[in-house]
Amino acid sequence: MKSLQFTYRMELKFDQPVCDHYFALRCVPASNDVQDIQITSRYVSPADSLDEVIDGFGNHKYVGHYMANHMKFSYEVEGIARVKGMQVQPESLHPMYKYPTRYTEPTEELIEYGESLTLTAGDNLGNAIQIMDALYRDFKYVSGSTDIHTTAGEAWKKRMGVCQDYAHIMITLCRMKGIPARYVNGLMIGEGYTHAWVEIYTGEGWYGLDPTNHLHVDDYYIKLAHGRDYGDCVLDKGLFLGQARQTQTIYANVEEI
Amino acid sequence: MNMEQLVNHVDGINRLLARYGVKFGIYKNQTFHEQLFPFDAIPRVISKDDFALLERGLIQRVDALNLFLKDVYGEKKIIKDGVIPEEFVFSSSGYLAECEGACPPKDIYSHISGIDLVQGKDGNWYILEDNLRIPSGASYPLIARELERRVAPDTFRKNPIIDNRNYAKMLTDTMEYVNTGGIRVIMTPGRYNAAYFEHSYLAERTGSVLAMCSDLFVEKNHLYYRDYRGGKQKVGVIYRRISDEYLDPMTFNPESLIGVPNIMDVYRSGNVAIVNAPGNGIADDKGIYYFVPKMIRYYLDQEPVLRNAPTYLPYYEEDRKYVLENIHKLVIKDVAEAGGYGVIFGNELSKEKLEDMKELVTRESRRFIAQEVIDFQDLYIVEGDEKVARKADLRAFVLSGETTKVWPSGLTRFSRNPDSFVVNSSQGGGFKDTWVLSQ
Repeated sequence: MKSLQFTYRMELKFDQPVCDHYFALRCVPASNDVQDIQITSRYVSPADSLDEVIDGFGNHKYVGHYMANHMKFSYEVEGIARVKGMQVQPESLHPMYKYPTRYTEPTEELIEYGESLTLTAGDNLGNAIQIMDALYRDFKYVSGSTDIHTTAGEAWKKRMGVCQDYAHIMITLCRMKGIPARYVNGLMIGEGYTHAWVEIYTGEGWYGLDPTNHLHVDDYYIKLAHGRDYGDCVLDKGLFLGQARQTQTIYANVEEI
Repeated sequence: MNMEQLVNHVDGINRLLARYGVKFGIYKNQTFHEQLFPFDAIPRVISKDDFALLERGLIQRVDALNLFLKDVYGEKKIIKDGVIPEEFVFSSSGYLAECEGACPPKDIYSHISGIDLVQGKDGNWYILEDNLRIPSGASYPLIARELERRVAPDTFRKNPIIDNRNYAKMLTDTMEYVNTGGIRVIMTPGRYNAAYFEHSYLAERTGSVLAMCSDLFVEKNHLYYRDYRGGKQKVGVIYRRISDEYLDPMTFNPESLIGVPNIMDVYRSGNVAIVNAPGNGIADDKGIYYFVPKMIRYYLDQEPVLRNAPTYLPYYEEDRKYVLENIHKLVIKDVAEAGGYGVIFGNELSKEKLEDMKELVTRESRRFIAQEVIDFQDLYIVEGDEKVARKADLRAFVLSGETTKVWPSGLTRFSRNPDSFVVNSSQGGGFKDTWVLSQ
């Protein structure tokens, strides 16, 4: 078990005033069987109203609104996470994690690739690790090669992508092989950006695997949200009136204490 | 019954309907057309006994469908017990994971159900499909009746026709029963919507506020209506006339310019009732239709009063075998399509096309259902100076509030085309009033 201090900050700057700004944030980690979260500071600014709700996937979500003109919108969350890594998080299986979604629809090429993989472990976790091994060999991390709209099939065609694509491809392959899998957004030790990985269902619960780094999800990871694919757990969504151009700055930092 | 008076006034009634804006929108070749919804003066008449049977069957069906929706977004017992294969639910586009765990007020999902039926030549009624999202059309027989009573008051004085003008009261009661403490709102995408007449008419009749999406906003996880003075009023129940996908751009389609941001969270928190509940598309999915009689047995422990059209699921091997052998006389429906689209009549296909269809059904067995063509009773319409028989169906409106009730009327739609079996108003055609007799 590790104690991690984390900070996640997002700042949006507009070059012209905007107003009537709705937002929905999934950037606050929640406690579960493998992570105990203590929030030390949290702000969203500007905001007229802010509410905490739970979405259909069980994630904590902060929703709110700001009416008046503004040129800047930012939020920050800081806290301490006590994380037990490499453990199954017991939960009954929701069948929605067994079926393809928009981002994880198997294309012919992916089906072909899936069929070429012979999984020999005999259990979900072992087989998922073999899929992760194969991806490590056959898929390349190239920063900026894809974007948030890229599906598993599209990334696979190029054989390169970022963490979101690794996760989507692995989810697609797992589900094809009968292993329920879900997408996870979160933070990883170090400074930089948010990260994405995969949880697979072992039969008793969920277990994290990080195909981008070819690692088991250990006690250096903090989960923010999960869903069937990226679309279910976008960290922040906003909708406002105005024709401004926006610049987004994200700061994420996780360090051991 | 003497219909002469009504028939003589039909042009006048149609003129008035046009002035009121009684229209229908259809998509054809990727463009949107609006057209008048022509009224035919000869009503469909349903006997007292027939209606009693319909009532029993429809209430039973809608109650089971509501229990199914609660189960699917909750415990999922019907799936765990193997009555419905899970992939029919969770791989359907009608299933919305975002509705998982939401508890609509009083556990009602489908407040207003539009159930489409036909009467076979054998006299039996058959359910064609369930519409549990935002079934439209109640306003047409409602306003038509008003005009009919004006031009032929005697007909209604002398004949035991149940007054259908209680729809407004039924709808109001249905909305009030789930009201979480606020005003009643009917939300319309606006006056360019083909069904705008219906939205405004129902708002007027039920004393609800007619609101555009931009009149509504979310604050502190409650829904509010901004009134003409700039004040805000809390909304307790919203009868929304836009589809799920456009309801909340923060949860569903982010491209949606209509809808109310974050309304889904208000709903999930139990702070507003949405009529009908989001996520209902899973229960009126054409693939799920096959299972409705099983649902009735499962949830209510009753035998279905009304039957489905004989339906086969190519997903099951036995059914697939039958479908492939008899495809030339079956209707094949694509489960993802609605509004009369994606309906293929086997007897209209060339030999080559039939083979293609067989291959498609085998390859994508989950995507299709197949049905026997029902030989249904024609109804007479007036065409020029003569009466001609045309195919017609009936959309019955079932309202679920404190109890489930069937509106003693309904929308009868007919096909203008003498050869067509498709009577969906999205495909053209007209409508009739539906008279239910009290004795």
